[in-house]
Amino acid sequence: MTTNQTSGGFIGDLAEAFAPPAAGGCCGAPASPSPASDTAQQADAVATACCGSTSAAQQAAQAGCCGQAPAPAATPAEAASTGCCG
Amino acid sequence: MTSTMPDLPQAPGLAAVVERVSAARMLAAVHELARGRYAGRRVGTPGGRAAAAWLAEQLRELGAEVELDSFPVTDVRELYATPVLEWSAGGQALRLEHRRDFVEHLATADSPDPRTAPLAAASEADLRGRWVLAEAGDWARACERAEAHGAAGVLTARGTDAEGWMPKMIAGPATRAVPIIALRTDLHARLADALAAGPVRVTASMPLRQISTDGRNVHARFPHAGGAGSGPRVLLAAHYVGVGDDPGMRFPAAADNASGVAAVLEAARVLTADPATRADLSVAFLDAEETGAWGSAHHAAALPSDTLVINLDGAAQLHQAASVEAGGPAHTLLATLDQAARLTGVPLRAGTMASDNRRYAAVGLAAIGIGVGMPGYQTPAETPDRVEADTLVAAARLLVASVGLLAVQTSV
Repeated sequence: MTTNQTSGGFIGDLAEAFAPPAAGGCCGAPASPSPASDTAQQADAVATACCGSTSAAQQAAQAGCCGQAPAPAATPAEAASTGCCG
Repeated sequence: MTSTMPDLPQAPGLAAVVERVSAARMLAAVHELARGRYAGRRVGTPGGRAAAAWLAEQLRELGAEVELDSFPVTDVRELYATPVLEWSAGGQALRLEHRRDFVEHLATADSPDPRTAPLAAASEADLRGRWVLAEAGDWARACERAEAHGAAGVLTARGTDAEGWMPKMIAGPATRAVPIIALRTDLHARLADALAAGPVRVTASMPLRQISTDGRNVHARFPHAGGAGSGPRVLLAAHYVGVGDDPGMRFPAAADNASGVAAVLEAARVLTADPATRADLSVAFLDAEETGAWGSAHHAAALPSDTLVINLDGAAQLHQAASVEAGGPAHTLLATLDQAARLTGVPLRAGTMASDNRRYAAVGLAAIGIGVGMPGYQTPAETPDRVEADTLVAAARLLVASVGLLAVQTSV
């Protein structure tokens, strides 16, 4: 592992798991911004490895990843859910 | 992860059970699923079906009742040839490399034959028959103009991962009427500079089609002694599907999600070998996650409402803490996971897990998604050697401890 942390359990408030902050990555993969060196890359630095734009990255937590349309809803509740990265 | 864990008073013997997980078995499973014979395990492919068959065999060897459950999947984006992109300006030509320099935009029209045309800025009045260079982040508007004018296609910008790859996706927004190609951001800027300096000609193809196919979930139930019907109903899930190989380029999909599958399989092996763990345990190895979590959407509606779901998506590289997202009535399940993490020494934090867990939560089930890292995410660099043994062990122990604690809580 790349961590030296030995104590387990939640860091922070457990309840945050019900509304986690957007990690900026897809499917648990942390965001990997480009090694930005010019303006265009810096503008894209908050985009994720998979999402092509800042807005897509920002929407990834609430909507389908990377502009992906959600799969057909099986129930009304499901319509608010998303697909996932892909 | 080699230290002996302290036992919990309420779960005597659980620490010893947790320590039975085998890194060697999990690594072997990861290497197996990353083999060329599975071709990246894309939904509806012979490789994907071979992976499902292999997993079914593994589960049967553990004594499970196994079912292969098929369902239709539409709108899968299939790259069926290697695309071409090159430009010439000022007497010099530049040929670009797919997935390093440019990549398919998922809204692209299928454009198998290379087309050569002059390049135009998106703001120009006449775009007919020309490739259009969209401003970064403005591909949709450029696309509308390109379609209205009968342009050759659109070039937009996209970043790369830390290793310079442009990850592969196989589902996306509605297909447009023109080819759309995403160019690496620095090359996009360079192309804009070239256009500002003089005429540019672009030759490009994008052989990406939209197909319908069938997905195949692998469901297993373990009717071991004291198990079925006598404890909490727990489902351990992980998707086995990958994005599939490119023509001429392997995508081993070791982290996403052979690693998660390996950890779930190992957890099931350990739990079912322990007669003291009184849980009604099921396992789902899911297809079609990469195309919008269709496999879990299909499965979720058929599950009893008291099913507790733990979905693992990525168990390859624990960095600081595993990401956890909860949905549905999962408060007790989440508290149990926290307790299991303390027992096993796995740090957790709230983090977005846009994976199959959301499908289960969406139908009202208590569902938790866990992510423990995906080095090389959906690129050719997602190789089995990058899947960390310690992370696999941590993930599998966390699952075993969670189910063990759930069983204890239900029985008291």
